[in-house]
Amino acid sequence: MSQWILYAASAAATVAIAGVGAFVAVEPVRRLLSINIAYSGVFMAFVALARRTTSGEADPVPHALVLTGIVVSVSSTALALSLTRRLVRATERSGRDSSSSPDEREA
Amino acid sequence: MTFDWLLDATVAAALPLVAWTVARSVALSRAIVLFIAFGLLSALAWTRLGAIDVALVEASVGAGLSGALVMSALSWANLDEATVARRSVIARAFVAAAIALCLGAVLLGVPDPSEGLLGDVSANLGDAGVHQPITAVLMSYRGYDTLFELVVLISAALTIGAAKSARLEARPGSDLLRALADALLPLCIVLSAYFLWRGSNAPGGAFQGGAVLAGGVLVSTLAERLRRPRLTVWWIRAALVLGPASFLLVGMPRFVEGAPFLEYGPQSASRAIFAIELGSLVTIALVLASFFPGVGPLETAPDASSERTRGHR
Amino acid sequence: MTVSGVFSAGFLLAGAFFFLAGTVGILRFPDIFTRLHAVTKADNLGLGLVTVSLMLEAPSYAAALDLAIVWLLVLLWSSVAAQLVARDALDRGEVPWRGA
Repeated sequence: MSQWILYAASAAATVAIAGVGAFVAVEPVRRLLSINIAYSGVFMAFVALARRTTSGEADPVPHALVLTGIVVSVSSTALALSLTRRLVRATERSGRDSSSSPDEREA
Repeated sequence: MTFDWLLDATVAAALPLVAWTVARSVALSRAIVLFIAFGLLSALAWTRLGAIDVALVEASVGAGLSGALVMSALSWANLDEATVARRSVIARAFVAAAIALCLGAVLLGVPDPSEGLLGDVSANLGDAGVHQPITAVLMSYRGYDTLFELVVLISAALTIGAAKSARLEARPGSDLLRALADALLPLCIVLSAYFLWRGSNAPGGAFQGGAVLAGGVLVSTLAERLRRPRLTVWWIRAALVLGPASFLLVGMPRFVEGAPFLEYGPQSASRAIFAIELGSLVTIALVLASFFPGVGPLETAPDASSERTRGHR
Repeated sequence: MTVSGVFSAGFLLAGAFFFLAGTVGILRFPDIFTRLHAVTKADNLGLGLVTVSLMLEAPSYAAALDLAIVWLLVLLWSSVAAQLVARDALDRGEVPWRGA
């Protein structure tokens, strides 16, 4: 089994596990972690495919795409965290200001 | 079975395993630490696959900065919600297996071996002006991608500023951290300049340099040596758009003469690329540093109902 | 198998042993302060031994110096981080483990 096949299989498994993890997670931060890991799995697939050359040197174009992708994924994570934090602050403020009892709020 | 194969197999098997532990760990702090470990393991995998630049970016930005970002979320995230929705294990395993099999079939069905664009990149490297193929692809062959990626970064930074979610974190000052920041920030500046300079000939470039510089700025912000970059200051705004601005400055003269936009020409290509990388480094460092909330001294009576985002001192 | 190769392999194995010891410490020690000891001391010593082994195999003196600098930086960072974590744990009220 050549090297790139190993890593491509690993990438497929990572995307599958992290994808399912992103859907079953209840908490937004945990969902964000799983989505990031799914991103990483996709990047791994790219880089593994770049390794198929006959000379053994990797094809640099997928590497550049992955580099761009990593930086963009970090900025989308930061944006998602910022919006989630705003949401958490808004819900806890409205929960404190409203006069409903905790049981009513749960419904 | 050579040792190389054993190492590759171990890393390739560990990656989905760590992904699974992130998805199923109960404590959020544990999930975050495992996420950082996953990032570093994938950096190792990418080094094995010959993608050194990508490994550098993943280790600094993907595992380091993004892990620190999520870790800073521990202070406000709701820690006692249920971890996983109640769905059966069988259903989850079935869906995961289906996705893995479909992806695996697609990935393993490609022609092997395949040159890809390696030949075209190597053949035209002389015209590109740099010796490092990845820098050539990023800045020369696919310069438009990089330009718009910088625009995406800037819009993320602007949106985060507009969301006004960052609040000054109250914390007591730490002299230990201050000493460390004083030692580390000059080192980070030198290291990022080194990465920028070496990007033409060896793994490096604007992204890695910007990430290291952002790390140094972040430590100094935590130690209260610097303040978080605020968009209300005019020269921060100017520095933020320095990346796309340098693209435009470099690409415009030739465009006005009638050549396609961003066509450097083989003589001035290396200087043009260096100028663009310099501008991009400033933009990237500033954007990455502005993702993190600022810190301030310990307040005596935390005011929960007013927005303190403009209270930076 | 050259002499430096044998030494390099020896240092690598010793480093791996210390990493293993540090990991066992994290898993088995009773409270955060003792676990910090395991992480910083054992893991950094393991890293130092691995660095020495890599320095023996380095292609040039500059590369060997690079590796040594990396180890020193990790040492610096991890000791500061351990202090900060321990102080924060004390502030939060964690009581150090005392007992049999």
